Amino acid sequence: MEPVLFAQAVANSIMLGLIYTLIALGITLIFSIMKIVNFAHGQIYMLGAFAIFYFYAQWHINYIISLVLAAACIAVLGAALEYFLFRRLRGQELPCLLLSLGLALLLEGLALIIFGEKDMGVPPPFPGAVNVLGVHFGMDRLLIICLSLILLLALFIFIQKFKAGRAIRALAQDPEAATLQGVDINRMSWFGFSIGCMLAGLSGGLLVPVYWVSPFIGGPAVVKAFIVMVLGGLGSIPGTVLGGLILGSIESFGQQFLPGTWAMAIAYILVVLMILIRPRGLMGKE
Amino acid sequence: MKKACIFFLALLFILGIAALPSHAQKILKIGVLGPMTGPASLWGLAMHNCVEMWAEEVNAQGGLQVKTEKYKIETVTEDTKYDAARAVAGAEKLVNRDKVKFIIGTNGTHEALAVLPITTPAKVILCTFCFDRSAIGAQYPYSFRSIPTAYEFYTPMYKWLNQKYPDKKRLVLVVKNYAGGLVVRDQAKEATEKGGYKIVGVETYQPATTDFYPIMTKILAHKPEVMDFTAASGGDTGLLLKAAKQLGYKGITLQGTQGDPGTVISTAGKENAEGHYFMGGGSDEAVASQAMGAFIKEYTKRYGSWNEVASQDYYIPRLVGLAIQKAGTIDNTDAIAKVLEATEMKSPLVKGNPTVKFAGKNYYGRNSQVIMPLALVQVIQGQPKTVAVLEAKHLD
Amino acid sequence: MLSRIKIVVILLLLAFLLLLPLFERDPYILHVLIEIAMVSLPAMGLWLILLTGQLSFGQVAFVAIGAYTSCILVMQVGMNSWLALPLSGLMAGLCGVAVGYPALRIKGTYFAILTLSMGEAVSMILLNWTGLTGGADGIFRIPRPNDLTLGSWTLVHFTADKVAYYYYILALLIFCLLVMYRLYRSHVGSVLRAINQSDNLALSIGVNITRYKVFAFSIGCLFAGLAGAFYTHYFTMLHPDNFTLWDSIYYVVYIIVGGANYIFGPVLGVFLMLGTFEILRAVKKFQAVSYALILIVVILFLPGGLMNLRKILFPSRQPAKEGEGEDVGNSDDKRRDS
Repeated sequence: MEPVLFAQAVANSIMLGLIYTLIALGITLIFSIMKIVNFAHGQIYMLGAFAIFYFYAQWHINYIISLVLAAACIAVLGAALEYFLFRRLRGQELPCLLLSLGLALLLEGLALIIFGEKDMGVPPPFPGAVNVLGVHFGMDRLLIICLSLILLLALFIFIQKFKAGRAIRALAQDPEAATLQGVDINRMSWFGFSIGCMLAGLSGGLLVPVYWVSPFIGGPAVVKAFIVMVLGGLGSIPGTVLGGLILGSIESFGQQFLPGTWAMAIAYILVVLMILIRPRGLMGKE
Repeated sequence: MKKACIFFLALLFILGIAALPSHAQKILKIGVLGPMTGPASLWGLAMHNCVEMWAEEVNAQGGLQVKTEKYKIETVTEDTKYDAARAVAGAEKLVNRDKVKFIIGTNGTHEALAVLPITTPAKVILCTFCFDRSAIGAQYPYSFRSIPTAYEFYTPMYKWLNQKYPDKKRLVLVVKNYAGGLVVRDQAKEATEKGGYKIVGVETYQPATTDFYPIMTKILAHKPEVMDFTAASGGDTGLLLKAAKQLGYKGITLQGTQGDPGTVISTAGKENAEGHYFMGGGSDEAVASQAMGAFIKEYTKRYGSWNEVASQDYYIPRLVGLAIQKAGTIDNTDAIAKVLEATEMKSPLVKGNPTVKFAGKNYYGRNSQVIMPLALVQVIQGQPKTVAVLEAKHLD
Repeated sequence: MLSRIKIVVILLLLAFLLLLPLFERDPYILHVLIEIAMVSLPAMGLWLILLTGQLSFGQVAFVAIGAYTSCILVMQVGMNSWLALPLSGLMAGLCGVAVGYPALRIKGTYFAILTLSMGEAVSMILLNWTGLTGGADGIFRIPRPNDLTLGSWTLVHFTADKVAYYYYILALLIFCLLVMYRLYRSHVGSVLRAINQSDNLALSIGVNITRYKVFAFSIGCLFAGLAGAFYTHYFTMLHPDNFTLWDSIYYVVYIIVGGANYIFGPVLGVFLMLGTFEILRAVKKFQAVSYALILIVVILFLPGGLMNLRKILFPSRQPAKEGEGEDVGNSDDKRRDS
């Protein structure tokens, strides 16, 4: 097939891959620290998207400032959720999972009542597209790529250099040892959960101009996040990037070469195989 | 002991449901069955709201006059969430508990086909919104279709398009992989070949797709001159347009179904949506009458925002009301069904007041398909503008 | 063995259920009860799977397998639907074995994600394998179950009228409950309970853990398959969209709400949740939100599910003796984490 088409497929893979990485960061973080699978991750992502819809599209606040505001709001929400709900069930894997499920249902139901059922779009902050040797990139996607990379870098530095970040990493690796070292589990769980939710909301806000927003965008988002998390590995930021790129490639090339919609079936089968063969994912830490 | 408690609780529960009170006199119940919540609620709510507004209008005049009696219209709504099992439960409730004789509803083919085995033996008139051909055939003598399908729309649309752009012949169909999407694909196929177009590709995408770059890349490999999004939803269409334009497509885009132009334009962005054709309800000033303006205002006031789908859903409750009046009975549905097939009204919403009626005997087996004016709308400078009013034609 | 009171209560309940269609003719009520029974089957299957100490989020895939198997056997092979029924269950059970052997080595959350992905994979395959399933078009006008005849006498004829279906699903429900009870009480059940407490303990006794786990798992899948076969000939239509991830998730919810410790837990959970759902129709817009709130409340405040309510309402009661309330020790707190 034509080299230009192939190049476009590769470009699509990278763009999609980073988008999925973005979505998956929050859920990976929360799972690493608290061993909670947060099913409500998708709905929090959706709330972040709505936050941008109101701040940026309806109230015409500058896009970057809207992002910061949205991130702050969602972080507060995440903190509240951990404090009032998840803390009561700390350590119980299954009830936490079910609680997050109930939360997902609740948030989606509330969003439907408050925001209505229509799909709504947001004007792109940077319209247009770029053409590089026949390969096209939407400007909004380039923006996503840049912002994702900055975010990834910021997160990486935070985890490595800052005390709070290192505390979170310690908790993820070994909660008992971390406590012995003086890490306050309560505060760190609360903080970590809040950051995880913030990342979810932020990814929602970043992606609204590329996609659209409605109360129902949460479900598909959290499923993609799972796939990335499982493939790439838990507790690893580079792993999440890898997982995202793999999923992006499967979708991009799958759509290109396979009839109908087999691409997603393959993605799921890969997840199944990955868990069977290497549960911690390609780059996960055990 | 605990088991006994539960047993008696269960007993109470079941008897409780069974003991709900029956309805009073001189009330005409109209059932509404469709997705009121969930992603398909755009269509369900439009339908529900139109029925509600009609009921209020009628009741404000004392009720529906049938022979010498006036009947207050009462709507009973059941939410199907676009799921067949829920549609069945809702239909059971409407038919057997609420004892309605008229149901306006079922938006999906799977909903309609699951519900027809319940409504048909009970002789309940079902006005469906699904696109399936057999759903209104001779084997379901009490079922009617409330809105035109892509079948009714595509023939005149492709003819018009061909006249305007005679040199653009290469067509790609973009299909959303769900029942309604597949039906429209088949209807499009019939119409495009008859309309003089050459289908160079049919690409299908999964309903939960959020990113359309991969599939658009594949579509563009066919080098199309015309792209038909068939039954893609508003958000999907917006993203398809955005992907197409961003990847360098410069040809024609269209779709043979109705969606929400607001969503399409805001999701795609004004520049990307420019020039896109789709089926509209005729609510812009070019074709709308004053009454349409009033209807839009009232609808927006009651429900918060205008839903373009409502401009088509407007007619069916009124047609049913007319048929009931003409037949002179509120429960002899055999008679009402016959009368409904021959019922017609003048549309107050479109300039020139074209006729809205039922037809389709040759293609469907009965005159059970509603025919109404179809507006061909194009996005011009970020606004939907009606460029033609088409007559629904059958490929008889 | 069961106490005498228990037997009387169960017999009364049974009599009530058997005689119900005689005085309750409203098809809507019958439909709701049928739906409750039908949904209970995969939930009960999940209960058996829970005996292995794992929670599956892919149960709906086995319902789908049973459903499509029965459809194909009846429509394309021309088989009698009563023969297709056990074969559909068997098919689902065999798939359970195929999935179970590799998958049951995996623990906890990973197993949950594994089964979730497997369920979704099946869903995608159903949607795309149009030759087998009709894809997004769906399959319609599936025949109803064959008449039950004795010589030239037609005993049971299935029509749109619900009564025959009611007895059919009731029979399936009772059958599965009996299987659950026997399994739990049997050697297999004891071994599984031992495994649940501690894998190492069971290993030290020399038990082939995997075989027992796979057995329980596949029976759980078999129940789901039976439910699927019933579904096909009840709704007379099949569409891949009817078997979604949310269904799998709801089966888990029903067990938790009803009480994972009791054999009647799943049925009770389904009865309460679906019943509440129907009652909440009146609330319309707030249905989903109310449902979610109930769920959250139950999870936060009633960790043993609703069958544990008496422990909360009557805290002075003596702790449950072995056999009373059929506490199977499936409680989440006792389950080992990964």
